[in-house]
Amino acid sequence: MIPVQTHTDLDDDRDLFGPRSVIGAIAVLVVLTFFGVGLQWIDDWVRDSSGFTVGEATAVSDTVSFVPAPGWINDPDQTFTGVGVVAQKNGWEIKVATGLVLQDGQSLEDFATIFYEIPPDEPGAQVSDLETFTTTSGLTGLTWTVHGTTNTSVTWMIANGTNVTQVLASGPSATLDSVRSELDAMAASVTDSSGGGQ
Amino acid sequence: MSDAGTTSPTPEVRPVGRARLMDTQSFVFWVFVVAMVYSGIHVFSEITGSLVVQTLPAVAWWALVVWSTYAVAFLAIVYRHQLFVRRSPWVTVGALAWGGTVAMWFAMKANSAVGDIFSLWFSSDFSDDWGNAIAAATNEETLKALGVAVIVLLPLTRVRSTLDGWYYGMMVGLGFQIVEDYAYTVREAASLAEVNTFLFQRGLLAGLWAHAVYTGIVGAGIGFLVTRTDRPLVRRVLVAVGFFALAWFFHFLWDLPVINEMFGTGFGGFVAVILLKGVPALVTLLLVVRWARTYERSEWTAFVERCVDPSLLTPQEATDLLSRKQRTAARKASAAQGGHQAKGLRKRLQVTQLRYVQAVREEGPTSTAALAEADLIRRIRQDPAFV
Repeated sequence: MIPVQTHTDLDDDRDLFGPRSVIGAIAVLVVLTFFGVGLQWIDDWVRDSSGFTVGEATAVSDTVSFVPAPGWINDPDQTFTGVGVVAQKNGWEIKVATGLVLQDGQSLEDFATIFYEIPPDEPGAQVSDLETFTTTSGLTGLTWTVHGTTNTSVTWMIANGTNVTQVLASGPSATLDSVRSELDAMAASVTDSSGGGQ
Repeated sequence: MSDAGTTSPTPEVRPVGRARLMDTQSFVFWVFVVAMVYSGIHVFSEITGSLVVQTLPAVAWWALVVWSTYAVAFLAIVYRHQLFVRRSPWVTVGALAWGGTVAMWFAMKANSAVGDIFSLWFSSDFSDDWGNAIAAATNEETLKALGVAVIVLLPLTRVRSTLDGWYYGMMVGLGFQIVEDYAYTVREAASLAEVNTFLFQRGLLAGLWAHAVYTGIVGAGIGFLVTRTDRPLVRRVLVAVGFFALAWFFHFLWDLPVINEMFGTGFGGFVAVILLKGVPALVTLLLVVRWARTYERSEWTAFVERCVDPSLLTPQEATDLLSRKQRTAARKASAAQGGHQAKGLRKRLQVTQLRYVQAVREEGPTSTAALAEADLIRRIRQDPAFV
């Protein structure tokens, strides 16, 4: 038999300090607080724990900086202020290092070739040609990729006068495509305000 | 002809009371008011701070006219979809306001935070491809569902059925949808023609299976959970959670960009994707309403048999009121016998009888409203043109 809707105790539950009023209001407030404040707090916490402020320049030294891509976490054990910053994501690691200097009369190409000609660790790895590139701040550099079956590394050498910033990324070849654009963006974001050395 | 004031078959059945929004005897009401004022101010300043509102007032005003008209039309369709009950206009306004202010503002903040978290944890590509859809479906559906929960928690709103939940859910969703559409329009449209394009794309192509539909499904689940106490609690919880999950999935699917070009990049492909994403949601809502209406129909019939004077609503007339199809058939029968005027009187009688049943249920057979409707029923019957 279908019950007929009638006036119920629920309708009489209108006590200002009753459970329906008090617990109901608290529950609504808790949910609103979570969505209005809690998620923002978690977001801030995640940002802080990454060691970076995503989208903002991170100082590698007093003059060199780069912009970490979203999702990359700082590795504090390998980061030394004034020397280099290391970030990691999905098995990939990128290191932005400063302190390298060109010798008198030495071009960036000569300097980069020293590193370029070091034999790859992985037998049979494919080494790309040296290619030129320009950062978003207008610095020029050279880059190459060593593509092995297991691991891949990508190197950028960026010159500002005699000062050289090296960006070295390495990680599993299988996931290169997922991070390639972020690696390129981080390398392109390198700035050097040192004035170019000698 | 009997007197409605003295012939109630079951005077022991207490009236359920007329639904009202304002209830100062509930902290939930005050939370509702504060949250709405707080969010309303933020949403208002967000919208009025947009470049279009600042520099192209004609576009902003035209968008307001267009979306207000759309809202009224949508509201009218849903309102007319109520078969036996005309729900409270003030509770309806409250539901619309929750969707357009509280759910809207808190979702904006939450979506931004969750999108950022996805970017930090995974990547901006993941956030764009999947994260935004997950965030929007989760945050928005939860905050809109909270609006239905608030209405349920207010004793005087008298939520008593699955369809009450469906209706107020649709209103919360509609409020959200309209404010979101308006905000998008004044953020991006640079001319009156573009406003019309927005109406076509967001209102007609996308709006028929958007927030109102999702929250209608969620609201029906909440309504079932809190009102069908004749069913086991576990079953009610499963239905409510299941309906939320369905709405979440439809919302997620709608916001998912990775299938947008499944059928190509042309207009045909665009329409095909919209249909693929939207039609299942609308069909699900219609099935839910049909399922809930089966019970509503049985319950209404039981109430009429127990509590309504058969001289004011005969068993045959009650049967004729059970569906729109049957109502139309009864009017056509009157028209066949008595012409156009008889058809009009039959329609008026049906509307009055529905109002009478609602008045008896809410305020009792001796209430002023019930007596007035009963009197009107008698006068319609006494009309010489009535058949």
